[in-house]
Amino acid sequence: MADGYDYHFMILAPGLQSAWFFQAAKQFWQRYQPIVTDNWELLSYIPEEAPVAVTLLARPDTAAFAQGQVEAQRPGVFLDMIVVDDLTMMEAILNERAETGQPFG
Amino acid sequence: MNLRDYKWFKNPRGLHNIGVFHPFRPERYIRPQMGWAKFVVGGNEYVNAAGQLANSHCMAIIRTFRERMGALRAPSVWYENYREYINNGSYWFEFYNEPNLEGEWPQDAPGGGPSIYVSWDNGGLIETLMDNWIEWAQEVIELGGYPAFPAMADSAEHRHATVYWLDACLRYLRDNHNGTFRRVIANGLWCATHPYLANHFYQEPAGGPPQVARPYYQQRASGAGWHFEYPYDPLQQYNDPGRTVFGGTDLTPFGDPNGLIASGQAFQELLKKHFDAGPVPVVGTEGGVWKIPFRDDEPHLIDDRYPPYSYESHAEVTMAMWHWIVEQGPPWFWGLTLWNESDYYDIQGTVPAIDRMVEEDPILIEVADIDTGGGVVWEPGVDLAEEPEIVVEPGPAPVRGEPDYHWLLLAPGLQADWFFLAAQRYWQTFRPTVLTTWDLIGMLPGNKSVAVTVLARPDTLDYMNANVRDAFPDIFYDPIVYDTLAEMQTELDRRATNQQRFG
Repeated sequence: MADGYDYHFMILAPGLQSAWFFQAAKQFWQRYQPIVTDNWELLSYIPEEAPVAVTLLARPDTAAFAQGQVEAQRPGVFLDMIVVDDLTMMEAILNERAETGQPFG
Repeated sequence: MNLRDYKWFKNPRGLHNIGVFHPFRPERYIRPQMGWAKFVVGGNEYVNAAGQLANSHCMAIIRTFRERMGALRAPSVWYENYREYINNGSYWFEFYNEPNLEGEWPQDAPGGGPSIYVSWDNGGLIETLMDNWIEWAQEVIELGGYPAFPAMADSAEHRHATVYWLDACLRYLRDNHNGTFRRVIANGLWCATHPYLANHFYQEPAGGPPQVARPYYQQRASGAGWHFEYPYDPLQQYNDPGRTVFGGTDLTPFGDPNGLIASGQAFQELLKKHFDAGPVPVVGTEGGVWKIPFRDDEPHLIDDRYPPYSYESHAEVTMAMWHWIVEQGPPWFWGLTLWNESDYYDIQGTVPAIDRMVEEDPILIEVADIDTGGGVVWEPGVDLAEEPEIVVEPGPAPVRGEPDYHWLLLAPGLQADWFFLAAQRYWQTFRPTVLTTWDLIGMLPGNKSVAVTVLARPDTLDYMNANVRDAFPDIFYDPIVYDTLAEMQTELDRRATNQQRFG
């Protein structure tokens, strides 16, 4: 779990294939063990007083839409968006965060 | 409201018009003795036509057409037009059209297509669609009309899947407009569907057996043994036992709504599930046996499990369909407006199905004495927008049918490989939410249910049973317990292959 937050979600924006998680996020998940989902509705069930962070994986064409959905479900959430078009680039970013102990960019 | 309270002419035959502001030829509906006329209209240009048809026992269904209207909010002038139609004897109204297809949304993305993500799992889209729809439905009821739940295109593709769209919309109404929607159910709701039948119909040979179809050239409308109940008919069930409109077999992961009554059946089951209400009337407002073959065409074969249909047999099938609806159809299926006037009169002249309808009087439906549910009878002047307070109890809710959520929980001590190696195909197939703690279960509200698949080794099973199964008795608890990663992977892969989410 990322320090400073009671709940850490990794949300996959619509249209992301499984490789974006299974290949790109393996190290990241091993290190921080976020709740992995593509269902942002779950954010609304966390008590208001609990700090929540979201790592949002998206491609540029769905990033704004997914951001709007997440923020609508939980206003004030700490939202860390990783928006790239390329799976290798996504993997590199997430691996670096795992290796450096910095879960958020 | 009782099914017998709806105003119509009990005649299932119907025809869809050509388009907005098109010259109206009443004889095209009156001579073949249609009971329904579907009019897409630009405004009030069909008011007189609708009145003329009502006098001939043909009920107009009105949909104001706007190209690619998406989730448009109805402009106030539409209601003024509706009032004119109602005053001329038309009570049945539709609003949205096939919102599960991209082509019905504004094409505003760079390079073409809609910029909005058109899918049942786009919560924002469903929200806007249903918020505007229920506002429209209340206005229609206030005027004295019957509002249609939007017709979805029949689709078994994941993103467009009819049954998923119906479910998403009704879930949203349940959770956000519960009281209002119940009152809409109780005051004139009906469901529009678009049953294009392909070739999903057949007639048994004389003497059966019921799962065998006679050749198309031996079909006779007046004979016995017709089947229009796809996918529940004996031929389909013989080929893929257990298939329902919701799927339920390896071949149908996203449902199978391609039959005359299939989407209507799905709507009724979901209405029962989410609101304990229904049935409400269902009318197909596009569809039929389409395309109509030309006289010299080879018979049209779409699904090779069923016989094809020809120019001549098209008329037999169409007449048999009207008989079947009255004599064997479910009590809530009230007919179909064939697509469309141009196909039946203009493209190749008047087709035989029209001649047969001219010659043969329609059989009328005897409407069953069934309450539609919802429970609250509306009285004029009462503000339908007043929402009763919904008290949501702590959850999760007991699982009945499909759970709202599916979570995959890794028991303590499992290394990441147990998930990343063993569960990859399973996750690709079912996309459950992945967690390593279970306190989120207790945060679910009382109207949401969850199934929890637990990956564990034998030495942690008792611990998981105590902390998950016993602590949350209303969840569907699905433990998968193995000593080795390879065994775990075999079981998860098997489930993925068999489309079997739970053990």
